[in-house]
Amino acid sequence: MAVEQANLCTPQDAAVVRTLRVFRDPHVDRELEPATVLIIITKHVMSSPSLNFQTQISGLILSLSFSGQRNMSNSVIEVPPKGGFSFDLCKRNEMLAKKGVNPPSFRKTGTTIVGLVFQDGVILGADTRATEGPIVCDKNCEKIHYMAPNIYCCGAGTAADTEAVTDMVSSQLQLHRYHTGRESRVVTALTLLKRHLFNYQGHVSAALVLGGVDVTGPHLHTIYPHGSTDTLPFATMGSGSLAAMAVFESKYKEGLTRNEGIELVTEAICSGIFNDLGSGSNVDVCVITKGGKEYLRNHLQPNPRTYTNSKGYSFPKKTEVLLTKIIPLKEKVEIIEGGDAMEE
Amino acid sequence: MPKQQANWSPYDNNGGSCVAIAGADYCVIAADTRMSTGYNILTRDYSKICKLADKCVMASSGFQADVKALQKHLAARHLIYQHQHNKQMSCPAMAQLLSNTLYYKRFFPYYSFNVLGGLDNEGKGCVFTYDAVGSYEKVGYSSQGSGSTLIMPFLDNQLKSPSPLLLPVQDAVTPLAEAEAVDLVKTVFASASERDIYTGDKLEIVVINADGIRREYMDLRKD
Repeated sequence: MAVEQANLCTPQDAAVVRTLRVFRDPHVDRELEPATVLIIITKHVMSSPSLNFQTQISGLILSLSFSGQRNMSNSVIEVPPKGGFSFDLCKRNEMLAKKGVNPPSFRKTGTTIVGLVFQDGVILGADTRATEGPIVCDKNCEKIHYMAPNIYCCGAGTAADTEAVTDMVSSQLQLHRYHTGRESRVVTALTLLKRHLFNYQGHVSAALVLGGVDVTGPHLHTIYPHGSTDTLPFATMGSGSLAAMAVFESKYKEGLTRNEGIELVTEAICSGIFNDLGSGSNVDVCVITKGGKEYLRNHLQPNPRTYTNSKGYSFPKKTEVLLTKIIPLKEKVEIIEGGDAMEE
Repeated sequence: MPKQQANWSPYDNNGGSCVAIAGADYCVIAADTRMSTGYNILTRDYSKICKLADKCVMASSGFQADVKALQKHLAARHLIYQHQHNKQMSCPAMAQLLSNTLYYKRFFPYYSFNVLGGLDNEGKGCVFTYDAVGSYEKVGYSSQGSGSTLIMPFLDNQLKSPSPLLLPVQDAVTPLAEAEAVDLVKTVFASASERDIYTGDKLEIVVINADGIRREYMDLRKD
């Protein structure tokens, strides 16, 4: 097994190789499967305190060569002569950017999301517009994500990032519930999220408003893309956060009733919808109390389509055919009759 | 310290869309009334349409400060023309003047995307479409601005104009009736405001025909 030939670039790599050696069961003379090696390396790297694990993982894998293994597809990676991470694509991206070819934009939810603590629990609110630059790509998307039966999370920023991170932490919370046999706590979700986001140093562009009710009471937190958190009685995030916060700062008070809370949240979201161009369409509300949760999807729909032609429009069925020319295909494949079926 | 670049720009984009459609004896020019900057709305009630001459109206989207300056310039030149020739400028004449005015500032352009609409000397509708530096073309219909990428394909489908390169030269104006054309414009803007964040609030429609100039308003999405 070619592990022995690994390039020991850093002390961490040496630790990984030691682990691999231990895993190689001395009683069974069998080589380690490549998949096992990868899992071990990944686990080691994920638990490492250092942050440039990309360097480590690539440096180590590139130096390993899996050769001559049965039923393994030839997945030998091109080994750069010096070893270590290959930054060729970074140079290419820079060159392209200079020539004016910009990387594709991601779908962001230019958004208004809010949360507030009321008498019996927490109310979360969000708008439903998702934008790709100046174009609306989804007029009615869901920004309030499920984390646990008693915890919900609103997400602003890059849509893929908010979806992925909330899904991931939701799964982790469920496993934790099975392990402990208890209802999830909001601070658990908070810690899992902030650890993940900090680890990615702000590159996971997810700004979240996390709210829920657990045994310790109602909680509301904001989480920023770099991993910092705040614990607040009322919070707003997203491009429409200033518009919504203006409403909250004027009208919020402690000990709101359920209906007052819903009304205030709706007003704040509407303020974002009408005054911020990145937010729009409908208002989603989620009320979480000790008794349970109430997800009011499209609680308010203040933006119906303004004009529909009664007669409708017809679209000609196809593009005009200007010229038809048929060229028959030439046979290039030779058909061998009665050849051996699939040689072993 | 990496080399610092100057990052002040003399331009800004105030968003918005405009459309013009030419008919056999009328011309429809429309634009939304939203003026924005970045993610904020400056006002919901700003007219992008300007009457340059009796039978000639211009709609412009882009940087409204430059648009305002351009409108003032053209108004002044039109006044001079009236003093010298004792008549109003025709639409084709104004079209040429606008083109020259824009090209005059070729190396510090007016950030203004214009459509000019009106009636020519025979009373037939005509629409001229421009880029920021004055390249223009007489067409049957056109759209400019942030929503133009959404509007133009729909207009192409419904009002398909024969190519001006074909011989014999075919009429670019649409055979639609005036009411139908106005209806089309309303649908087009309602659709554009659904998907373009810079288009919305209110739609201003100006119709020029033999009887004169008529103005109409319609509400659009305000989000």
